[in-house]
Amino acid sequence: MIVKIENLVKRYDKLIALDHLNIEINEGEIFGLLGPNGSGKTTVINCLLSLLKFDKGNITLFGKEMRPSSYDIKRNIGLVMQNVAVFEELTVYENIDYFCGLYIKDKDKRKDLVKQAIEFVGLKDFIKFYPPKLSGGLLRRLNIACGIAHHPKLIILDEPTVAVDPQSRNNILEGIKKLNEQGATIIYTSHYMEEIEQLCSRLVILDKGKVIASGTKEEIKGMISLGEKIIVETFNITENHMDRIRKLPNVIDVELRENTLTIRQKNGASNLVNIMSFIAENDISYGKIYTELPTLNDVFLEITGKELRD
Amino acid sequence: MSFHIFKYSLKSLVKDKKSLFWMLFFPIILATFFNLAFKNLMSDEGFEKVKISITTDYEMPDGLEQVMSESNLFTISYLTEEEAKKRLSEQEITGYIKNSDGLELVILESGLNQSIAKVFLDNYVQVSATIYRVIDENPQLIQTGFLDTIDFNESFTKDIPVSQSMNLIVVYYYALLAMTCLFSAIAGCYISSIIQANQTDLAARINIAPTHKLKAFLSMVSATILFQFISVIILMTYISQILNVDFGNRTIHIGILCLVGCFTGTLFGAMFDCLTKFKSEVNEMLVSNFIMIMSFLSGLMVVQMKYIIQEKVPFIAYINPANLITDGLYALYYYETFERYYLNLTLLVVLGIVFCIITTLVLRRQKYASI
Repeated sequence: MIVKIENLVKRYDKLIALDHLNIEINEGEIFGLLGPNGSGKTTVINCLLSLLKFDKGNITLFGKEMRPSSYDIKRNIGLVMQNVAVFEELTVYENIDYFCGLYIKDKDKRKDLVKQAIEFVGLKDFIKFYPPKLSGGLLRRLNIACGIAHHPKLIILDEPTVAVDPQSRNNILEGIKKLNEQGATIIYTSHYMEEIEQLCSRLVILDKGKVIASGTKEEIKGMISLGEKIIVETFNITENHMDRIRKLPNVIDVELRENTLTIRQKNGASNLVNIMSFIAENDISYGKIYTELPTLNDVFLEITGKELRD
Repeated sequence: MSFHIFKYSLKSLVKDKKSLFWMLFFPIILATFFNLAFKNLMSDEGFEKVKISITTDYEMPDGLEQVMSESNLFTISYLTEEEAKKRLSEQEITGYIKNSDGLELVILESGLNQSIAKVFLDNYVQVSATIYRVIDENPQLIQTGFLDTIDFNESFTKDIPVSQSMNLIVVYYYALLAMTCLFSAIAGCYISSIIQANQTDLAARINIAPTHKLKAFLSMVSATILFQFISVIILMTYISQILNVDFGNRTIHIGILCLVGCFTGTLFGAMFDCLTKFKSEVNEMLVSNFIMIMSFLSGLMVVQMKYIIQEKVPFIAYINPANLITDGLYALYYYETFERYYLNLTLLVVLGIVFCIITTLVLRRQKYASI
């Protein structure tokens, strides 16, 4: 086990930011911390890195207690922060070399690592650029390169795709998968459930400093009553039709948004044949019909009663 | 100390336009303005004599030439009236004196020199007429030494010893050097903000690296001191070589004092940032204001302020780094002995060490309640 957080409590005066948090992260996994803004994700990271004092609990990394002076532990950690943290007066190359040099003393080895990091994030054509001259996406890539150039065993990425265009986001997510394939354990925090679903093998969902669900994606989705969703693109459905669908067996809820009808069903039940028959019997015109498994957003919605992006 | 951090800190200071402006170009600009303002005061000529000609075509009254030359106001030449007219039209002389129908000064235009010559001549005519009249009526006065008491020279100039005016002006430049040394406090402030994880994201990133915080801090401080010291050397070279201000010949002593000044300044900024809870931009602004106040108290804007503080509240003078630098430089320039210089140097070192200890204690193994 690489990370073990036991009973972690962090208070800001009367506000409880982390409430008896327990997290375990195994070597080689991509672990997700999912939660809306203000749920405590970054606070967990800061406590983990011994940047923040906490009121109660234990944190061990690589089997040792984490302290500000635990340099042997720090040597194996890479951090990619939510905000870009680089020197504006240094070039892309100099920034990566600077941060890599805080971990790697050997000049030749460092030169190799910096080169690899530049190639990894695709900044080869920009090594002499200064950060203010880079676009948002390129800056994020530089931010990542500064955090991973020293080949850490544990990489913490705190919302690295905030305010990034879709193309750069895909590059970043692909890069994270590659890092994991190369052997790094990843902690990935986000409030984008799609990213967590795409990347993480295990995750915890945080809300108001508490773990409200934890496990693999499948385990977490299995925790809720919602099963498959049937989505129908329709043009002439009425309120009467919708009421009658609601009365069909195993249907939890029916919702119409513009021309898209979403029928939520109980976990483990399948109603596709019944719905298809209902549409045919009632001459309801339709376009596409397809089914969708519940998402983490559905999990969050069912547990907390609010959307993840709220 | 980490050479890696030192190298990049120096590089980033050299490339940072804000640092370059405040730590190098601003003092150079100020020095240039000082030079423009004090140009005439620094000149030891002070007053240029009035060029006047006495025409040889006429007989001049007895004693006129002697009185003129004793006044030290004129450079006298002897020309014919024709030559004098020509020289006057070519503006080679201010005017000429002829004695065709009484003493007469011929000038072409009005001005300070012309006024001096005219007032002098009028004064001579009036005083000599009075003397003739008095002696005609009382010839015995010659025996009593009456003539020795007559002063033909009106006071046109006032003597100010050159050394005294030099004192004041050089103090301005010393205060400027002190201010430049202390501007390193702004960089010191920045260093402190990128070493405390609760201040900037950059600081958080540096804090999670396996580099001892104090080692990183001291490397950055050393780079700042070196950068600022180089700026001071450039400024001193500019002032002494381009602006021709004499700093004396104790260059090594001046250098040591400025180096210690940079050390104390950098650590003052770092300490200030450690002890306050404001954002780093606010701290940098406050620190630069503090430096300006210290410089003001050491005589940068009003030179008399230095003496007022030294006389009325000497304690302030002894804990004001700007004053210690200024006074140390002043002592080097004006005293043969080094006692006062070493006193200032020692106090400056002590202040720097105190700032360093406070900063180190605050930074040591710091964990934050909030980020």
